[in-house]
Amino acid sequence: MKCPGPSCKEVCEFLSDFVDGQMSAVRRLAFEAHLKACPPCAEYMHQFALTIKLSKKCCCPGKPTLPIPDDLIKAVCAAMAADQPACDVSQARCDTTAPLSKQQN
Amino acid sequence: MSRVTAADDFPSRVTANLAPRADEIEAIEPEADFGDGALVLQLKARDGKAYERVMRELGPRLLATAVRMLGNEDDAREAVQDAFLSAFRNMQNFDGKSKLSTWLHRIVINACLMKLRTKRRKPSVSIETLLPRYNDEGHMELPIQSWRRGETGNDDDAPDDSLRQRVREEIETLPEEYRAVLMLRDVEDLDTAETAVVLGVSESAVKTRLHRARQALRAKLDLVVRGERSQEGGK
Ligand SMILES: [Zn+2]
Repeated sequence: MKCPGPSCKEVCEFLSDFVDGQMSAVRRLAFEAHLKACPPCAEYMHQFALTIKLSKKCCCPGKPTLPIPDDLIKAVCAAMAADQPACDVSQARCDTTAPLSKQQN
Repeated sequence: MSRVTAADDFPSRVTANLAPRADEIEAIEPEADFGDGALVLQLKARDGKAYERVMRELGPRLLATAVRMLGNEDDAREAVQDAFLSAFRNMQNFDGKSKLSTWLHRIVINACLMKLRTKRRKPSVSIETLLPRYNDEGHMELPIQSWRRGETGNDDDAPDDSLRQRVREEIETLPEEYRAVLMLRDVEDLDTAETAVVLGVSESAVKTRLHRARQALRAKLDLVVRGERSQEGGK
């Protein structure tokens, strides 16, 4: 089998650059010519691209279902209240219209 | 059944494969744009109501990221709690150049990586056997067998539960340095530079590891496909 342009090895070693769009136009054309003429590389490319897609699809199945537990929210708010400094004049902005935090109540 | 061969509709099929669909974007983008100034000012002013709103509205997605990274809900909740505390304490560092949700996502990833460093001491195994091998002429040594339609899900359908489970299990078995890069780049959508920063490695190391991780995962999925074919008993 004689494939044009880069070798099968080169194609497979640089497929990530190819699918991630990090390849010069000239090199990309050479890769495309090779993939069109070389069924094994074309199949490898297909499986490689599908693998990338499957990682995303299988790890991120739509909307997350786990809510943030109330005790986590309470713990964070309590910790923030506990270490809150007084309104720090050294800070660039201190929004006096925002309600001051609870722990000062 | 004949599958459309790769050469037929190349490269449009490749582009179609990689472009995220609406529901995939949905999985990473929050509904509301939290980058708006008023909320950020409230957070910077240490407003408890603003903390609660951010945790309730952005928290579930961040928790989902942490579960993906850490593999269990208890560790994930701890990481998210650490991340929120760290973020709220360092709100002055939020410059508004990115969305608040993006900033928090990076902080959660950092919190997860810190947990992984202390917990996961999996010995690193070689993935050499999963990488393609070539003969002297530069051709692949082993023939590539086609994945038939349906064996890895149809391109446009959501994968079924069993495929999802298998893919996640195979990602889990990758050596940690490869798994981390694959998760950050291909699942959490960090770019190469961001991944290099959070992992403390060079960008070229990220690129090399990502490519090998993808190749190794492809080979693992190929074994799954072939294993299932042989179980079908030459159907
Ligand atoms: Zn080839």
